[in-house]
Order: sequence, then C-alpha cells, then structure tokens
Amino acid sequence: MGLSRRDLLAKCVSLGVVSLATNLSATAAAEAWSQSEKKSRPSTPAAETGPFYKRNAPNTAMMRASNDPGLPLTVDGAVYSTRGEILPGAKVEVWQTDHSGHYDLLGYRYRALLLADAKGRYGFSSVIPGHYPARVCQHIHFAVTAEGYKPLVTQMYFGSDPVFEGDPDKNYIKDPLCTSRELVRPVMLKGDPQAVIAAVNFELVLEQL
Amino acid sequence: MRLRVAGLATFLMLTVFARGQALHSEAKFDTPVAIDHAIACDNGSRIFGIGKEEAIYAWTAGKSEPRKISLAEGRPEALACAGRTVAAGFGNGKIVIVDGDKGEVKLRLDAKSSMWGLTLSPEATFVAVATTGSPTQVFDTRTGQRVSVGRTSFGGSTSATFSPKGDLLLSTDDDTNVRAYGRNGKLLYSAEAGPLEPFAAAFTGDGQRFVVATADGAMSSYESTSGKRLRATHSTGNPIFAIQMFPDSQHVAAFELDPFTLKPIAVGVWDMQSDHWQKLDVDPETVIGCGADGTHLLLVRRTGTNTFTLDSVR
Repeated sequence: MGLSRRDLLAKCVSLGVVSLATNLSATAAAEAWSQSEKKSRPSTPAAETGPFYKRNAPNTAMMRASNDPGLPLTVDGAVYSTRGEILPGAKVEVWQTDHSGHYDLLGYRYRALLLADAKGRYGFSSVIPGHYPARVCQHIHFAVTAEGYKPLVTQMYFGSDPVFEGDPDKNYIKDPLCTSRELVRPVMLKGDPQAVIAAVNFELVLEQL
Repeated sequence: MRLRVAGLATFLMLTVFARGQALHSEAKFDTPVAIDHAIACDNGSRIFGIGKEEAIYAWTAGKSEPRKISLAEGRPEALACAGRTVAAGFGNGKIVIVDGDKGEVKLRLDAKSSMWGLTLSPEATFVAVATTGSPTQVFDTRTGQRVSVGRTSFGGSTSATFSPKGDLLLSTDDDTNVRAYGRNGKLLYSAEAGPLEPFAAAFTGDGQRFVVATADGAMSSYESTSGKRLRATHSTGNPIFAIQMFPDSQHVAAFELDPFTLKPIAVGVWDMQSDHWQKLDVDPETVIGCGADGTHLLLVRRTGTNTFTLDSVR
C-alpha cells in the first residue's frame, strides 16, 4: 500500500530529502500540497428538467437490454465540486428515450439512479437516444444531488448528432434547450467492427450551497 | 371582425357524447389574425387570445371588435386572467400585467427564467409564475416586488394555481411533488403527485379539494387543508398538460398530449365521484383554450384560420 501524502512528506523530511520552512508542519504542508493539486472546475451548465422525470428509478448501470435496437452507448464520468473535490455517494439520476425517441412513461426503461463510487465515478450502458418531434437533438437528462451542494439538472448532447452536421461549435444553438456548447460531448466509437459502441465522458460539477 | 353571440334558439348542438352531455356553441368570433391559444375569463364574458403575430387580442362581451394589445416582448408563452386584468408570460421570463379592458400595460416583471405557466390571484393582486429554472415565484402586481419563492428538491415548477379565495397557492414541481403555500408564502405541505412530474392543478369551486394531473396521464384529487390524497385514476400514458374543473366540482376536463409528438390527442373528462373516465367527442387540435361559467365548462375552439367559437359543455 502506498504512503499517504502526509506520511510520505514526513518520511522525506526525516530523511532530509525535503525540508520545511519553520512555519510549516508536515501536516499543513501536505494539506496545502493536496489543495494545490485540486483543479478548480466550472460548474456544469444547467438545463431544464423536463420532460418525463420519474422518481424511484432502478439502481442499475445497465439500461440497455441485449436485443434493444440502437447504437450501444456507454457514458461515464465523475462528480466533482467546483473546488475539484470528488463527491462520492452523489446521486446521479438519468433518463432518456429509447432508440426511436420514445420515453417509457409507464415503466422504467432507460431510467436509472446511480451512486457515485468512492472515487466519485459513475457510469452506465445504454443506447444513443432517438429524436422526437418536439425536440431538436438527441439528449440524456441528468439530475444530480449531493449533500451540501446545489442540485444540478442538466442535459447531455452528442457531438455525433446529425443535427450538428459535424460542427457542434456552430450548430449547438439549433436546439434552443441546449444551453451551452459544453453540454455537447465528443463521441468515441470503439469495440470491434461487429460490435461498435459509442463512448462518452461527461463530468458533472456541482456548486456548493 | 364581428362578435356574433348566438341566441338560445340558435344554439348549435355539435356533438352528443356519453351521459347526454353536448357541446353548444355560445358565440362565434372572427379574428384579424389566427389565434393559437386563448383563455375564457369572467364566466366567458372576456376572452384573451394570443395572435399568430404575437399580439394579445381581448374580446369583451357586448363589443364587436377585439382590442389588440402589443407588448413588444415576443410571443407570450402563457396567459392568465382575473377580471379585467391579464398577465402574459414570455419565454425570456418577462411578465407583463395588462388592463385588458383598456389595453394598458400596468406593470412589467422579470421572473428570470423560461416560463411554464402563470396565474393571477382572484383579486389580481398577485401573480404566481412557474418557470423552468426556479420554484414558483410570487410577485405583487401593485408594487412589482417578488414576495415569495417556493422550494423544490431540484428543478423548477410546471404550474401555479391559486385557490378560489386566494388563500392557498399550489405549485406543481419538476421533482414530482405538489406543494401548497399560504398567503405569506409559507410552505404548508408537500404531497407526491405521482411517479412522473405533475403538469397542472385545479381547485374545486369551494376550494375544499384540488386535482393534479401528471406527465403519465394520471389525475389525483386531494384535500386542500391537508394535502391528503383522496382518489386517483390510472395512468393513461398520455401526458396531461392542462386541466379545467367543471363548475359542478365533480368533473374535471383533462387535455392530453401524445407523448411522442407532444401534440393534443384528446380531451378527457374524469368523474371524481364514480371514477368514470370518458373522452369528449371533439377534435383536440381545435381546442385552443378553456374556462368555465357558473354552470358549464367552456371550450374555445378554432373553427377556421380566422374564426373560433366559445362552446359550453352541457
């Protein structure tokens, strides 16, 4: 097992490879060091909640059934504070349409409640959602909550969406509900030629209350 | 433009549906532009409509010409009325309070978030605003001050509804709850509306009960003093985006959407005593507004590009 930063620093000081100014303890120096490595992050842009949030979604990372049509999708990321701290245990609720653009209103298909793990990470498997007439772009809804932080409600979009015509910088405004270019995420296609999967990373950053 | 109020002898029975109820044409209207949303106020003696070119048109009983009210804020997303006062809400969060009879702007407010719906208190002294980015906000229409903001677990609110006496404000919220606030803005209780978000609420005439309709097409009735759920319908799977209480306080009209296209697909009626549910035999795409008089549900129906009728359900 590796040493903690504080233990490492204390060892280095005792061995003489690191020296501390007289006004610094090893503990204070270790804490300051850790803080300086945390990256300040802008909060994830918010978007409107609706439609069709449903409470009590199942705690499952696999929303896709084996025979579901549509391009398989994995979404992963981590939940952070704007100070760069990871937020283990944050609740990440997601909901989306199926491949053909239909929300499941009577059941829980393509709905999940996820808990960020000890490293603040979350992830789920799904399919690329479909378009439907009342919305311009394919999207996944997120509602993220963590104690001590402002709830974040947002929507994630796909850089591969045909609506963006390959240029989301220019075309993300085609969907009036797409509030920020930051919400349009790059899509990586991976897997073997017989089983291509789209992969998207989406970091979620919450503001403190 | 002419306002043609039909006499009793010329009532047109449009459609007969279950239990002997029917649509009767009460009045016919010619409009200068197409009207795509309207509300019937003051027992149907005033109608306010949103014109295709973004102005508001106000029809008053006894006057043949509608008053055109241009607000220079774009197309209103929502309208509410109380007596002669009309409130218009816009996608940019702006709210304009207008004297509908004079066509004069009384006040401009800013809710600072995209509008879902708004409502005026019975005396038009307060306007409550449901927006996507904030829980329901209440403004004093005399001073322009924001007097209270509701709360949600997350997200905003989808509708706001005052009780007939104005002593209770219901907010249907994104987090699937309906919350009741007192006159001072204090939260009185929160009740689960359903598994999906509620879109609309309506009080009975005496204010003792209210009904909430949800995104999965269910309706529930509650006791106003406690928030206790009394009855509930099954989900139809079709979102109900608006409801209107019948004057008998026993029936509720529900305006349903197709969940895929989000276009109107039916107007249903729930009998809260028998739990009977039926569909009105009316083309839902023609219904552009509703209201009630002392005894009947009123529907505003588009009958042509520049014509509409006010129909009572009897």
